[in-house]
Amino acid sequence: MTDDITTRIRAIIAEQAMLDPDQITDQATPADLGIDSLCLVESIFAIEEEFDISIPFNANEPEKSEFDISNMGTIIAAVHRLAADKAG
Amino acid sequence: MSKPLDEALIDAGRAAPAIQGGRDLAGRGGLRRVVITGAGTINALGHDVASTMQAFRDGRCGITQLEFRDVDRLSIQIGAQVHDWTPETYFNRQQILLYDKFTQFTLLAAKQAVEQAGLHFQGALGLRSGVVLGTAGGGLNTWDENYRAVYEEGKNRVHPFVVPKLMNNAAASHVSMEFGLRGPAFTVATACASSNHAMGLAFQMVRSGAADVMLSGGSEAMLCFGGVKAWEGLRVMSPDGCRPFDARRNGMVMGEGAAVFVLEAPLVPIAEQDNRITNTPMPAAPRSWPRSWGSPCRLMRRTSSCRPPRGPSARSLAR
Repeated sequence: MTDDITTRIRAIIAEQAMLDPDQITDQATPADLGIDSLCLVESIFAIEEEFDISIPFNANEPEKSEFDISNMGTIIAAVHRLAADKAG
Repeated sequence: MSKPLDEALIDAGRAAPAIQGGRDLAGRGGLRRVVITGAGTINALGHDVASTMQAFRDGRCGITQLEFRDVDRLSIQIGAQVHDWTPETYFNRQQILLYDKFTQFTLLAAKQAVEQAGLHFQGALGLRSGVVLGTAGGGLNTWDENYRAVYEEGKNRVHPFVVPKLMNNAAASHVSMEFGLRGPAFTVATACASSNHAMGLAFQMVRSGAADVMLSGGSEAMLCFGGVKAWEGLRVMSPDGCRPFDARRNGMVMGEGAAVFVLEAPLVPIAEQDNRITNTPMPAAPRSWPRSWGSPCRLMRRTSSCRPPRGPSARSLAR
């Protein structure tokens, strides 16, 4: 299923990773896409700007953050939840 | 009465014996000659050394009406601003996001200087080379834009690269990364004397043998609303022109730009350099630069025939 939010996230990640949006699969990890730590922080900023949400992500301890960045699927799911929370 | 500095340096250079058998031999007191082999600049008069020198010869003034957001709210509206600056000509989108204007200026000037010197820093030379730059304000435009975003526009989020862009050593760090200079890389801040002190330090590092090649000079990009407003507060700015040593002088005029030089130790006699393997043309301009620094001479590309991988060897790091 590809909804509007998912499409917009893939577009952001694709731009950051300099890839085609079709290459941003749910199984892909940030490392798979060539996204390093700095690029990840930039991507999170871009997603926050796009959806006007605040993402609970601490770059010091990414694995302990509430925001699960294991792969694109977990990221997309987490952004869906944050967008829904914002919409109330 | 001691000799003037430039004469003393030339004397030190004369005393330094030429290289023998591929090793550079320190001169009197272990001090080496230092020569300038490359220069680069961008400023209000031109985007390189040649156009800047031509503007000097033409007696052209670089001071113009300032052009940037909210300039109408300033009482000082003139400056030596760089015009026709299109960073996308030199940098990709990702680089532009990461480089404040003072870093962009620096990287362009450094590129010109390194090209003129004809140096490549792969391998051993990179480990013996560094960069010391001066700046007083650093990433003023980045401060300005982001203060505006959070205070004036009420935004609660700024781009993650704000800190890497605004910090005063950003330009030196990016020069180090761009050209593979793995020796000392830092920035000196002493107000208007910053670049002068940076070049003094770089000179001493080459002269003492702490480094073989140093890039040095400096950069400033304060011409933005907050930058000029701050200077207005000092009440030292001229509203109409720059007239140093003139009875009608009424203040200073702010400019922006960068200048970078390549300082080297002359390791190989000039005669041997004619045989070096290189496609790089000899420098056309810098004959006027090195006089006070020693006689012009050039560093042989010690790495030209052998280029090890980029990463330093464990042994070289342990030394």
